[in-house]
Amino acid sequence: MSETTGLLLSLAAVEGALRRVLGTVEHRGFRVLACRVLTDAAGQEYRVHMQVEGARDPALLVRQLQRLHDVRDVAVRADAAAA
Amino acid sequence: MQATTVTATTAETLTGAQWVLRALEDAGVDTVFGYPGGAIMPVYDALVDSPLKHVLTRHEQGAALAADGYARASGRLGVCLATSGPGATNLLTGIANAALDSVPMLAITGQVGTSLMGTDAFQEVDVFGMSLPVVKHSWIVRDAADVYAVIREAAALAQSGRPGPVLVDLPKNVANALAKARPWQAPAAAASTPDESALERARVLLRKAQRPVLYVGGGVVLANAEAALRAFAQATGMPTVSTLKGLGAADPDSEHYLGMLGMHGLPAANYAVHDADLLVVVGARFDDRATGRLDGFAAGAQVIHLDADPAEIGKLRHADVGLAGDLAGYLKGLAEPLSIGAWQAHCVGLSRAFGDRRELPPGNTVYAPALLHQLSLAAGKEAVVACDVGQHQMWVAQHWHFGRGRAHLTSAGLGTMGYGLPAAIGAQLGCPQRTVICVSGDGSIMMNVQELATLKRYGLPVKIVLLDNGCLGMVRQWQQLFNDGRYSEVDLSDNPDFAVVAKAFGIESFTVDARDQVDAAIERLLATEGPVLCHVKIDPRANVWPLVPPGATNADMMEEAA
Repeated sequence: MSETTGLLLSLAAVEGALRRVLGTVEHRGFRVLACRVLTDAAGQEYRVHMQVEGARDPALLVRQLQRLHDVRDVAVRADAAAA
Repeated sequence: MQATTVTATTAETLTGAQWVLRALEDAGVDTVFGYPGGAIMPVYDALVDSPLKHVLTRHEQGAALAADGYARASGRLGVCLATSGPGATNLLTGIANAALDSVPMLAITGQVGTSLMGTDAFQEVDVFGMSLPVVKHSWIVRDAADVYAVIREAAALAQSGRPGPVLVDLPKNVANALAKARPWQAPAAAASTPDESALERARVLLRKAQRPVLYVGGGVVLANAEAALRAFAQATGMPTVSTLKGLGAADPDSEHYLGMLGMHGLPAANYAVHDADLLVVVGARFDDRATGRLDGFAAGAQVIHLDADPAEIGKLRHADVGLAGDLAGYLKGLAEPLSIGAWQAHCVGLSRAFGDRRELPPGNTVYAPALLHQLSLAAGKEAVVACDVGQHQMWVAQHWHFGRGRAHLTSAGLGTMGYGLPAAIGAQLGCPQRTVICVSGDGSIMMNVQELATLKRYGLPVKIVLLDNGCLGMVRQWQQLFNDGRYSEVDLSDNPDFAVVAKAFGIESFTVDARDQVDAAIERLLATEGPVLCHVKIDPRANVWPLVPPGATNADMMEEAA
């Protein structure tokens, strides 16, 4: 049974960071339903609001995302689902 | 991580390529494997004046796999270089191999100039994008001032926490540009704070357990936790099993050591795990080749899972207690005697009942399991064995006597045919004092046979044992057992004469085709000072037993029909 999860991520705004996150989400068995990316004023950080769907435990996905080198923070957020 | 150490950089102005080599030297690298080409030429030009030893392989895949073998055997960073386009794509299998087996590797690829990137220029591929799923991290360096810091960061990251491969893509104009280096700050080692609450919960589970099993993976040696693991096993007296990659971490001479578990595991190991009420899993990741059908794997057991990588805990099997971080510290915290005498006796009985399974079949055909066991005892526990992939890989795992870690180099996760020879080359360069043996098959050797030229060029005394059954044995075995004997493209009976092939490369070689020649062959192999290839003809009908069929649990092993 698939469930929908909202994620809020902070990433270093560097080359490849977004591709890595999206690739990890899909490779680990989730589908991206919505994604919104904002860059901070200094251009140093991406704030990514994502809504993903999958049958696997989203806590596992969170841990897979946390180990990416560019990822500074990952949180499961109900409001992120409204991205 | 907190940055505390500032690495001094000089006020020198160097090219990006020169900064690559300076950074490697400062990171403690002294050997790199590679193959030159257009976009990486500035680095090769700088190599002329560098103290780094460059090992020219004959294919970029060989360079990556040699770097892998170097890293696994020596515990140091493996480094490989290649040019853009096909050079870079040829590295990818080796990078993926390192990713699946958590090997610290730095791959440096030349790239077309930044103005040409994205224009489909000659030998341009997006190796940064292609490698994203199989690297721990990667960089495209777009400013020569960043080269030094990026290479230092890449080298540090590859070796920290759970090791893995990293890639640095270096455009040619950046490699040629002159710059002063941006200072680099070494990250302080991340302090690992033990989870005392989880540790106490683990102790409670251990004290309650009546049938605990210690399940050892490759992460033990990667975490330098071999001594702590052996002390834990000795203190608790727990029956112990190992994954393919974990072989050598636990003491094989302990009466409580049951051997490898899984698809081609030993029956005692699989039965003990199946009946366990507690698994203490250390540096292992519940790989499907180890577990068989996951929902039937140790179904009655609770799990204490120790791993350097928090993302592995609970990934495939729920952990009742997860301990992420310093494996040695946690093992020391859990080491206490257990009252499991009846269970110990049961497992010792299993081990004795199923024996070592090396009974010689009738006839004078060479029996590979017996040959490998005999060779392992003759070579001694300091020897390194690098395997290829297939039946011979499983026979090595089952029958070699692994007395220490970093002695067994095997492509466990990716299953890369062609791994053995380049890995052995890397191992011999990383550990010149140790005997290095490559066990290959007639299918696998042909995947990277060109590296015989590397072996000859550097005069490396690698001993190659080529088990030749004239077919792709593992695939043939599966077609025999699960496809009703419908053999499809597994016949290799038109192989070249491998002894002649070796001689053509200038390597001593000889052929063995009868059991009564084995003693002399082993003596000659180990006595030969330079590289040597022993071509061993074996029965093409020989299979690897036992075998857990696909979709079955590990308790449902198939055995050879009487």
